[in-house]
Amino acid sequence: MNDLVPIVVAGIAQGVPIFVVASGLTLIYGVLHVLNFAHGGFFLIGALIVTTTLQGPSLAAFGLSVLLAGVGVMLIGVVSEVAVFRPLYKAGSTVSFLGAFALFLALVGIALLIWGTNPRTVAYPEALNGSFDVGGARVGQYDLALVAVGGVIAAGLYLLLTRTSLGTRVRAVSHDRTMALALGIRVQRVSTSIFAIGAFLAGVAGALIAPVSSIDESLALSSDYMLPAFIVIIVGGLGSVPGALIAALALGVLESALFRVAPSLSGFSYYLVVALFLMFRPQGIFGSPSRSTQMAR
Amino acid sequence: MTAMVELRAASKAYQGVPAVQAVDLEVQRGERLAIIGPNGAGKSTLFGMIAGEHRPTEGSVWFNGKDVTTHHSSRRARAGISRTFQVARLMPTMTVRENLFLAALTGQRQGIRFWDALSTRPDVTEEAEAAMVAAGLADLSDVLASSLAQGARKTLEMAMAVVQKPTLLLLDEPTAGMGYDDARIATKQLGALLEERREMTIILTAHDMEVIHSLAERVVLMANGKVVLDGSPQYVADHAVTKELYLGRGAS
Amino acid sequence: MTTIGRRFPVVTRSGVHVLIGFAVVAVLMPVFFGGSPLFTWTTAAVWVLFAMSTSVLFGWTGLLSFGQAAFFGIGAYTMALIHENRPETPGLVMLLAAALVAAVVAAVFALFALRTSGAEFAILTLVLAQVLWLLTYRVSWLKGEDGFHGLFSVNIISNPLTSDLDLWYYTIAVVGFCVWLLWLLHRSTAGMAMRAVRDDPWRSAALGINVRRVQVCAFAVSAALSAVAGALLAQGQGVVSPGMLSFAISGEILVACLIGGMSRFGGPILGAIVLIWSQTLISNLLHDSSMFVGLLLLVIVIALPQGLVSLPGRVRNRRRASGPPSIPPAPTGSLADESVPDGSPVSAGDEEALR
Repeated sequence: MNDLVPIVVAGIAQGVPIFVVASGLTLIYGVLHVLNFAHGGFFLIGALIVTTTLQGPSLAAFGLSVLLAGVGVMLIGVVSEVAVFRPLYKAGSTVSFLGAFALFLALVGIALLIWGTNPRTVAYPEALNGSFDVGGARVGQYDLALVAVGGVIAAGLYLLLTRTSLGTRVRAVSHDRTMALALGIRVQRVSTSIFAIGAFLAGVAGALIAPVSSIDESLALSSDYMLPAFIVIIVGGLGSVPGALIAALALGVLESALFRVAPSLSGFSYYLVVALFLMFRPQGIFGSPSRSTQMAR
Repeated sequence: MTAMVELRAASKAYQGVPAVQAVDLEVQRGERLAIIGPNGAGKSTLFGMIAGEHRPTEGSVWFNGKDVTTHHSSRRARAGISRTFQVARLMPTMTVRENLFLAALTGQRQGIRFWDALSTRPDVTEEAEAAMVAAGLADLSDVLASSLAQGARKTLEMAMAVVQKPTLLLLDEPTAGMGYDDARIATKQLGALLEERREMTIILTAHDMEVIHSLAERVVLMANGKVVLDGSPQYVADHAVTKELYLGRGAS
Repeated sequence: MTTIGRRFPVVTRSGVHVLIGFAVVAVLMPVFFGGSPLFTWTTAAVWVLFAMSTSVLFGWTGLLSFGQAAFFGIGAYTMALIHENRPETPGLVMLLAAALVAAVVAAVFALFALRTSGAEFAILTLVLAQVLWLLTYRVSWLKGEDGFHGLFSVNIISNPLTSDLDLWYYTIAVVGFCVWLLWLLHRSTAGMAMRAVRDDPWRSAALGINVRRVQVCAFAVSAALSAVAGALLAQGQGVVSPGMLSFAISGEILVACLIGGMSRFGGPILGAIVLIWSQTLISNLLHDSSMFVGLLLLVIVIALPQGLVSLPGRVRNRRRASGPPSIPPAPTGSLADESVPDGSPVSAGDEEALR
């Protein structure tokens, strides 16, 4: 029992940034049918913005930096959608995927040019530097804060998708793009909005992990965050936000448990799980069977 | 004598929604069978089960007295089943000539090998050229399939299916997407071709009664995933059930 | 293609012109270059082979792999391990062993991974490379970050390579031979089947082509030659490290293919040379070339989707006609959701349909 609580909290804390990245990815996939490889670049730039904008150790300053990172990356996201993805949409999803890949390389290159190659670090906000005693085990305050932020973002996305008109349009477009067009939905505007939201979330996620990770270019495709995010959206079902949430948390906890029980196996669990899913349930937890198997082989 | 194609209580459901329900069907060697029915009747699914794209959820499919239920479509193609699709499927980056070369090559059923250079197969080239001329596509020989007009696409796909020398030819809506005049010309050409190759067994789906009357000798009417009528074109065309299905209740 | 061999039937049929081309380059290059530029050319030659082998999968068969580094790395590590245990093994035997190991791994992997397609398949290949990369740190005899050093003293046939010039001749000979093999594959019925599978797997299956088998074979061939490239690089540079399995390598080789364009046989060759030389030159100027590579790729994907090899044709078209240039459709394979013939979704049980 004493072991269990920290394992679960650490696992969820690990899963939250992954979920935040993955939710944007999966939303974009749902609407644009593009696996947005450039998300790694957004994530990296989010973290780097915090290293530049953070002033002082107060919680408010940190919160402001996180917000700035989100907004900054959102702007980059909107520009990329208009400049890169819109012209490529007609060319089909292969070309869009490659466009995303090119954008990824370009963003990482630009980030290197601006921030250099030296790894950077950010201190924990002072108020969250300590740890609590939960059920006889020590749990980091920052980890708990991450869990709370993840809950807020999940709830926000749920409300956005179910209670707003944008949410309705997003669901319509991801369900059937042609039909949505026929119904008079401005699909292009929905695409841009969803790209903006996805990029904002990626920037926020990058900012949130800034204090817990060393920040350099490898973050853009790190095996701690970005690769698991790709895996999470496949396991959760491409296009499904709840699927991404469940998969991110479950995999986070699994990984953190493995780290305690069998450290030599840690790092492999994501890959093992995604391989099993792709082989036996390629549509993921919440995906419809058709979407993933529809593609010709 | 065993039937060429036999479906035994074949059913197919998509995620629990039935598309074809327990269909029994026998097609004899050399028969010309048309499958008709309103949209959603299950014609295409039935076709897919014979060609191998769809595996029945229940029941079995037999070809030349062999159970081929679990055989995938490429294996059935090698056993002698060729098909066209409702919307013609071609190799977009290959020219008309290359498309036909590929079909003639796979039609020889000798397998595909690294040590077989394309240029050392004059027999295949010859066959493909002959098919191209016969189909009236000689003028378009070096045009990419992706830039062909709708009618030419259908003609090319048909030529590809025929050059494979199938024993069973499946034609899915051979005149779909054509204008009235084109469709009539295509039907006439097809009729002449099929007359030449009496040994081929034909199963086709169609909406157009003219196509059915000129190409088919037996007609199966499907509705809601089941076979409703089975008989001569005249019998099915005149039957009250057909009129009701196509024209709505009260029309008969 | 039936149009092959129209002009010079005997030469193109046997691919003699490919061999002659490489022989000319092999002889001429040392005349104009020496020292460090010649070494860059040697590296570029290795990347030419790597790019060509990637193109077998990506350009010819339409399978996008984000983990080509896996096979590149398998080749390098296989070579390093053989060298460690039996240093007297001839270099060419090491290359052969590397190719075999990679081909077997690739075929087994492909049998499972090809249950998926498109973007998911690409992610699975990425996962394979990532798992191998992780393994180099976890398995003690793979030596983690340190990797293997001092692999220079490889016996090619009987004597070790002693100079940059020897290395150049050796590398270009191996690369030329492998590219020649690929030329033969490209012009064989198997090569045509690969293009057919890329163009339309459904039509291919309906023609009787065993789609799954063609894909697995393409994967094995691609992996084997990528492994030769990896082993060759290891022999030339004398170092094998986990970096060879990294995503950067997988990404760069795709960039090389895309820059050159894969609608022509020689596209990836051009792409690899452009990539290696621009990286070398820009790194001298700017310290880091990744932004340039990204932006170049972005321009290519948006403005010139057929790659640099399509440039002459475009210019010609623009001059000739005032209308839009007629460029053949992208041969990069379809990752798109392909709808099934009758428009209904293929259920999981129908996966066998196209095997």
